[in-house]
Amino acid sequence: MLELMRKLSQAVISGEVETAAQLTEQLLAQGASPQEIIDNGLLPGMDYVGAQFRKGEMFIPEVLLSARTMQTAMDVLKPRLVTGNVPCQGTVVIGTVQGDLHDIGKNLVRMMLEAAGFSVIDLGIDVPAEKFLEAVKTHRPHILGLSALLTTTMRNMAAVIDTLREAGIRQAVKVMVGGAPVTAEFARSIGADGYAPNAVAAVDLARSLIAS
Amino acid sequence: MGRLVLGIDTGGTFTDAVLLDLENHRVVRSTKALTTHDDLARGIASAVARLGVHPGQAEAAVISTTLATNAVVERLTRPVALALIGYDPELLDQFELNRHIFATVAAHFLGGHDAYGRPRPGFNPGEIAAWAKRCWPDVEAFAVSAYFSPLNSRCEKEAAEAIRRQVPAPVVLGSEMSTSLGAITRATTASLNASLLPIALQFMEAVSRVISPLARGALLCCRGDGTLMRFPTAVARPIETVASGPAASAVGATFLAGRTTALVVDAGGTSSDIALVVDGSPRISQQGAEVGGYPTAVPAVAVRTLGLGGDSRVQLAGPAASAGEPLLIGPERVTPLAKLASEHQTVAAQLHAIGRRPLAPEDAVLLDYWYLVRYPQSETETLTAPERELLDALAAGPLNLPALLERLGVPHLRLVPWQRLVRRGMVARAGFTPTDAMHATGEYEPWDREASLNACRALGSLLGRPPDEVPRLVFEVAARTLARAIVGYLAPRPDGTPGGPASGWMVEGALRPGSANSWPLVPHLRLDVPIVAVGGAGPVLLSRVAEILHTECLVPPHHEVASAVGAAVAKPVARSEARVYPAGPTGGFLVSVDETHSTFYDEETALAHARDALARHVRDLALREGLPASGDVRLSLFPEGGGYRVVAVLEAGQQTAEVV
Repeated sequence: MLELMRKLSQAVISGEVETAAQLTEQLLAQGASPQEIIDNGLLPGMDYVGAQFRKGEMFIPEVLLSARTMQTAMDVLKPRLVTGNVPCQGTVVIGTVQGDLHDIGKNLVRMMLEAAGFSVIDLGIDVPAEKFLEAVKTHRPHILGLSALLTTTMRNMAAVIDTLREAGIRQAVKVMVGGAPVTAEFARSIGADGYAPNAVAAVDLARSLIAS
Repeated sequence: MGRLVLGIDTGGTFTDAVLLDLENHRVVRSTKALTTHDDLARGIASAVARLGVHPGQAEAAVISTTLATNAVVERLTRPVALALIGYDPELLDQFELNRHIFATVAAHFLGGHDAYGRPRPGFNPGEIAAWAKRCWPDVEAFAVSAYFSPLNSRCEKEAAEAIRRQVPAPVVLGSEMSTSLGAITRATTASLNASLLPIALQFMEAVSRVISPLARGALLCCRGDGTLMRFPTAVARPIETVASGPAASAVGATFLAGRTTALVVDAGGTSSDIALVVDGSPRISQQGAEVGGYPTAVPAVAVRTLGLGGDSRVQLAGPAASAGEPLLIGPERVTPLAKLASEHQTVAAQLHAIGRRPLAPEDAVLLDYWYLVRYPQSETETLTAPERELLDALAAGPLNLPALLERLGVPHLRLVPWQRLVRRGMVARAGFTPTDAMHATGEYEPWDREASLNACRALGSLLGRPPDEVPRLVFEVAARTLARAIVGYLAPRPDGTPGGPASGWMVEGALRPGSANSWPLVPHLRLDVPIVAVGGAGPVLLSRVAEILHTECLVPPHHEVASAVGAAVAKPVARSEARVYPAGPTGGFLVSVDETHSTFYDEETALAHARDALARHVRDLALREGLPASGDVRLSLFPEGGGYRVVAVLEAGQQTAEVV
């Protein structure tokens, strides 16, 4: 089993989409649970990619390919996650704020949340505050997740929170924020309910926000 | 005699008037009259007449009034039409927010602004004016509230102008009432204010006639946050007087105790109110005042109310004990056993017998009495058959719970239909209360002390303690419960705002040494300000609380007129706010002070400009409101969302207490 897990991690790192799908099926056939495959096969690979990217030793196209590889493996696992005994942990609406087109981090958070049993509605990129409000109205999520990767677009996170407050429904949803330039201090200053530095922390944060 | 100020407070039952000597720090004279809820000015005139103040004797006169709250609760407010601009009716429906909006008639219009203060499409002032003209025969005032108007009030101002061109009615704007975000509370604040205008005018005129001959100078009115405004301002902004009673009471109690900073605890019969006063100003709540069930954006004193008072029901905690206390006190209020026994010999005799029997834990209900207050007084008060049966069972005299259940032939209280009857005041309960404990110790014994002593014997038997320890135990548990509530009121969150965690071994170990099993760690909690105890049960219950929190307990004289005193010593204040917020999704900052908007590239420059412009504006405002404009302006900065609120406060006047 360990051998297969290592191969799966390597497939994610190298961006080998087909191989990853096959290895995932094999692991399931051998009795590994979806959660084990994510924790011990996919995540280690993706973490490595993230670290390499930050060091400047891997670049965006490679990262995108790795993300696609992980998504493919997740698609294989998804039916198993749903039919398994994992009850819906909660509903999350996520999006990248207005003026910002980055989505890798957001997509990773979406994958991790879905893997953890959350129902996720992804509004995409360049989402204006009004659209987040509409989504809260339509889907009544427990959590609203905001992503921004530019210092100039971070202020639009505050606009979303202000829009919720002005509408009189700030208490109806928990807001969590993330993205490379975002800090815990900034999150506090705009009145967000939480900040997560990476996708794994985002899942933990989502769980604790639901519990509170 | 020093500087004299006339202070008046219209409370729930009594209207108090005091003549206060500010310099020598004393109450010269005080009087009470019954509050005349249907016409508050009459009660005020009575109280003031009894005070015997000579014309021109007082330097100023201040009133704290429940006018606004009364009018809303008694539904005496005038009909008002509310224009909601840029709101989303679907969202209001979906989140059930419509019940928070106050209006006789309300209509939705397109327009308003976004989170950057930019106008949204569809705004049509002509449409609003036409609507206003149609409403005019049925209403007396209008309120206009637009989305994000604190950032940009243009929509509201244009709508108001259009309305005024059509009808000769007062129009109140949301942005004039509050600069906080929260479109629902802002709209309700504006419409409530509009609906109070004619009532406020009438009231202030009537009160003016009575008191202006007596005061040489200003006539002032108390706000819900403990500051004062001149009468003309109060006539324009009557909603701000909401919740002024608790504010005045906290400020007055502190003053009477000879301090400027204290934790005031008002312990009455049913509940205790906790409020912190620092440098003569009470702590303000993060949420606005609620009036008649409607949330407003009016700043109000942060008061924590605990359901524990002199007549709170004392029960054995039993196995469900929380915080490890052997007794549970409150939140229900019951008639003290001493009082019931003094009115019914049978009860006194029963208590005598119960006090001398050996008792098992189930026998605690022998002290739980039920009695008849009255039968229905009119045909509209209908009863179900089981309810009538309950009244008849109690007709011959009070019964304790076992006797009542036996008489009715039911096995459990849950099968007895008492709730409606108690709510309507036809049936009442009696039980052991802190008042009974005070009878037992002899500190306060207007009723049957023997009955209280017998009840102590019974409780002692149930708790396994000597009867003479029971009163002390009751006071001890009451004190710890109050101390816990005080800690809860003051406990900070990491960012310094109140509402932090107030339980756990550190708190329990500090309130009751040794209880937390934390040795060798010994928690110790100290309250750095004195406790000022007011209210009927204040002195008895709070002295022990002060010991637990290692501070002193002050019981001021004249505390029954603390609210009127508080009104007299409160500070007249002019306040203004400005906003600094992102100018758009890509950069820049907008500074909005009064009617002017300026754009800046850099946040620091924007803030500096805001502070400067606002300080000048608040002085202009003070002059317009008839207050002296010299004096220091205090500026504070509150981060809100993506920007800041800048608040300038100008204290005008020297009505502050000196520390003794």
